[in-house]
Amino acid sequence: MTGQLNPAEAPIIEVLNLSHAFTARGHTVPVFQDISMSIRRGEFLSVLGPSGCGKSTLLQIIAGLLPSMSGRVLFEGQQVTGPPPEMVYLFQQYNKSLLPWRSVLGNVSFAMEGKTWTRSQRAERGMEYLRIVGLDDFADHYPWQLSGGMQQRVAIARALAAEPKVLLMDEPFSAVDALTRLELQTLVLKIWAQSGLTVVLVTHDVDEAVFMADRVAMLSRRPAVMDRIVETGLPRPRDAVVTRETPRFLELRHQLLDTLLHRDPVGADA
Amino acid sequence: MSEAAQHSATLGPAAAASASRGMRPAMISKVAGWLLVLALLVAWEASARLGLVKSQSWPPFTGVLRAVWDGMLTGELLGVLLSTMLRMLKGFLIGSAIGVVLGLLIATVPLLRRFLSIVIEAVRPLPIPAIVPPLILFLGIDDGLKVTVVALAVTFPVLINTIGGVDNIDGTLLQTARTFRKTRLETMTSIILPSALPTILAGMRISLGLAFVTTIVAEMIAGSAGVGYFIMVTQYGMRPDQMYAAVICLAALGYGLNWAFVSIERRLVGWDQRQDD
Ligand SMILES: Nc1ncnc2c1ncn2[C@@H]1O[C@H](COP(=O)(O)OP(=O)(O)OP(=O)(O)O)[C@@H](O)[C@H]1O
Ligand SMILES: [Mg+2]
Repeated sequence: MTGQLNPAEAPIIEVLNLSHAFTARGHTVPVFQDISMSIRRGEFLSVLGPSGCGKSTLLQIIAGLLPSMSGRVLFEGQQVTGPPPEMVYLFQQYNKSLLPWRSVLGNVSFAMEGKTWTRSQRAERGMEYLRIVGLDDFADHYPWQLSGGMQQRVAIARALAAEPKVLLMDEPFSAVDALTRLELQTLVLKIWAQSGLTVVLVTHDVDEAVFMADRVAMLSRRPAVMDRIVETGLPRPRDAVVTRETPRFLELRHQLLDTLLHRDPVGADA
Repeated sequence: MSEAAQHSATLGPAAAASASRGMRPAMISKVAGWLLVLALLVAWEASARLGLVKSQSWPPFTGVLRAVWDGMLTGELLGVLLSTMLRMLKGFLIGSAIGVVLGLLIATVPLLRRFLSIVIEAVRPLPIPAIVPPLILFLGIDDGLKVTVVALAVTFPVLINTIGGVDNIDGTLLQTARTFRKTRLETMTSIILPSALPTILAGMRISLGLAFVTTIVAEMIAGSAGVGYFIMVTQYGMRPDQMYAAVICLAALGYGLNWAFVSIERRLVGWDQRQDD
């Protein structure tokens, strides 16, 4: 699938010289500086970086949820000034992002309200998306009746129901147990392969970044800069067990972990 | 899917166990509570019948019960109670509506909040009965006055709770509305209002009690109809059994109103886990 992508085609998202800083107690603390990258249509891109380097901040700016302080984001050639249609952000805290007073199906319908669908069409399509994430038997349950992994699947189904071109995922699997995490990774890869979505996945897990992505964009410690962008070149479909044993996977994992752990942290004492 | 099945399997028995464990002490204290009420009523009856309290205005409990019965049959007491209820509900609904709408506006429009918060803080501590006499000058002593007074009393707790409820909404939910490109109105109806509803209803429950008290007090001060007025009239007219009959009906009514409100509340915000304890 990666092979068919034409890098020369116009990128779906362009990040141009983004810098950001937060002001806390009178001090202005730079988070990241001069980040640029092009995101290809249909690719799976991982953004990897240590905790606190500004990955969520970067993703929120791309999503139009946070205004950029300096630099620009282009989505299909248009400058992003607010959340664009066809781009959906999946929150790190999925449990706070679901509507607790709505059933699972009601939550999925939320993404379709205000559009042209009728109520019964929404229910029908909602069930289809729940089937994709394997939760059609739980349509009538409430979010608090589900495990963390299932809640995240509801959030994924809801995001898909908005029919986006781009899915921005902020550490979507960081709060679930290790086994559920592997299952969800495989599920997301399957959805991605079947849908033609462009996915940007933020994570601080090297293993996850490499396993999922066509390319890994690595940020340095805060104040972060773009360290490098590497093509994984791993064949698809990926297998939760086998892919992780290939020489290429181990090589990338070694390389990226080594950089994350051993490179002189820039300004880490701040 | 195995993850799902396992989850629901562990949920059921655990919930059932904790429910049955909580049952017994609750039942015992409930029975004890009713026994205490019964004992007090027996003491009342005995004190009047045996002449322990020698007063013309201390009828036995059974005499009061007869007065309730007669009052209902003739329709005098029933009519008085109904008119009070109607007045109270009008004031309660109007005050709640004002409190919710104003609260939502203040909580979501920063300019309005800065502008109105000083006025609200200044007016809020006023004991409502104190404004009845001045208001009579403008509104007379008819229903308009009483409904206004009740609505005023109801507005503040609802208003304050609505603002608090909106302020406490998790930012992630609001951001979720944004990423799904909801309009301001859609965000208001599908995110803000339901999120704040448990807090709003808690405010309304407080207000319901206030509305009840305020209605009676207003009827006593600006008497022309209602239970408040009835109690004053029967007191002056030396009809203590009828006076106590009205008081007892009010106690029952207050209990019933609160019970009805709590059931509605459960139904509306049962999803809110903070309600479970
Ligand atoms: N609203 C804010 N005000 C002040 N500082 C903030 C704010 N939001 C984030 N920060 C700071 O900016 C830095 C980057 O935050 P961000 O959440 O983007 O990091 P992250 O890479 O996503 O971290 P994690 O991996 O822990 O999720 C952090 O050091 C954080 O303390
Ligand atoms: Mg983050």
